[in-house]
Amino acid sequence: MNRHAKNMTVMLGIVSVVAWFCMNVMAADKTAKTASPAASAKGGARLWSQTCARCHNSRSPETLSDQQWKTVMRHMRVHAYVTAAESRAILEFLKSAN
Amino acid sequence: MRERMLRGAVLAAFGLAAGIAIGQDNAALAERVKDLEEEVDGLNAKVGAAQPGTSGYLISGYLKAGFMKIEDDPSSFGAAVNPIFLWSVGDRLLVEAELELEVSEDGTEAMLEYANAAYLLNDYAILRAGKFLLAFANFGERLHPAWINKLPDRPLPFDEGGLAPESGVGAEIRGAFPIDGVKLNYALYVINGPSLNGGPAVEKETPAMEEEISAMEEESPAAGTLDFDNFPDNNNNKGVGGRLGFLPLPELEIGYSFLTAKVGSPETPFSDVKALLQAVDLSYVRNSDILMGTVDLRAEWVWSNVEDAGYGTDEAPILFNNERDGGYVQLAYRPDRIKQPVVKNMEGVVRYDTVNQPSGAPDAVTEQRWTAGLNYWITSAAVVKLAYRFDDKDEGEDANGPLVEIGVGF
Repeated sequence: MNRHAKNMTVMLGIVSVVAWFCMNVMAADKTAKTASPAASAKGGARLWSQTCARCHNSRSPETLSDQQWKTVMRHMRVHAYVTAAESRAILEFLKSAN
Repeated sequence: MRERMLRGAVLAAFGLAAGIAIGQDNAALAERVKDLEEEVDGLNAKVGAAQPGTSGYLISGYLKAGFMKIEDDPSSFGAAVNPIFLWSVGDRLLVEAELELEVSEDGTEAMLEYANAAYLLNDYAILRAGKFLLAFANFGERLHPAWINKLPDRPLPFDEGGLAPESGVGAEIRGAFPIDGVKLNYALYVINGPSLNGGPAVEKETPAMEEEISAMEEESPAAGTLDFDNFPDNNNNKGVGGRLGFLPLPELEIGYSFLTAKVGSPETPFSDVKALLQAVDLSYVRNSDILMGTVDLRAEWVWSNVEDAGYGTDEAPILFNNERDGGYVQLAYRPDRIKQPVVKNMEGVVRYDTVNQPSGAPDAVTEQRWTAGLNYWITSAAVVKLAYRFDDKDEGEDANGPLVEIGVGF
């Protein structure tokens, strides 16, 4: 086995093990949350936390003004593939929490 | 009669007293109203001055300050600040630009990371033009800022001189939309495209003084590598690339990217040489009750193929199969659901990264590294990163050593 194949195998192995582990955790989490109706509620707050976390920690709503969040959300829509509907819902949440 | 008169006098006295009191109250009230009116006028003036109108302007960005000690090299501090200028105009336009100001051997190095105008065509498509971060894999476009990257250094394929391009000058259409409970995102762009480094042997064919040729030999990038800072373009051919991302779950994203272009300059032996770069990326981020925290998994693999070309000279040809690849896997965990304030702000990170170069290619070093790190989050956008890198190169000295960085987003 040459070095390229060996490296690729190591990486695929790590990804597979971690992905398998994460999927199991996710399944367990889902089972736990089914019992809690409040936890299954989705809204701007949940989208804000979930969408931001795909790349970085979520910043607190009060760090920027409504107008600044509007600019930031447009930047995120262009830069980070946030959908138009997500962008609107998150902005509404940020405004309401401000 | 007397009693009636007395009662009338008492009532008149009360009436007079009440009238005086009411009169005094009205005067106080009028004065208070006048004060309030003045106060409201003042506030209106202040609010009016602060109103941004229909456009929104914001300076954001990030700062990093670091320290590293790699093997026998002198230890060194470093620092950089990347201001990002955002300007949203009306309902559909966004102008964005980022500078990087970094300490360097010559003082301060200033670079334009990106500068572009984006127009929101509709809910599913955005058109933009200028210099932009390329939708090629994930790290270069979304994960490289110091307060987002979980280690002080970059994975090998995305480092300076690495396999993956970071930005390009051209035009792009991109967007994201949900379909049946899953999400898709896409980007398709036309840019100047990379240029091929022919190596010093080719440069010798140009009529130049011997001393200049020697200097060029020392400074020229290795033959067969690609230069992604291709401005102005070295040929009339344009690079075409894109990325397709798929989110079967909100926490999971899988992407495929490509970039293809003719990379040689006209009237050189490389004028018809084509290159194809491809990448796959995976990211999974989940805040879990079971794990009492957040798991952050990233994996990306990049591979490039540049058509065979004759490097070197007729007397001393350099022949190699110009295929390169590399990638990284990174896993981070932060126990942010634990109530203990110090522990919940700590984050452990481990990364394996590698790059494989073709045998026989000039200055091509195949390398793999393991890096382990411990981060402490001061705020949600400020982090102190401590890490140690274990390096293994097939040629030259391994770059082992400690790395420290503070990253602050603002």
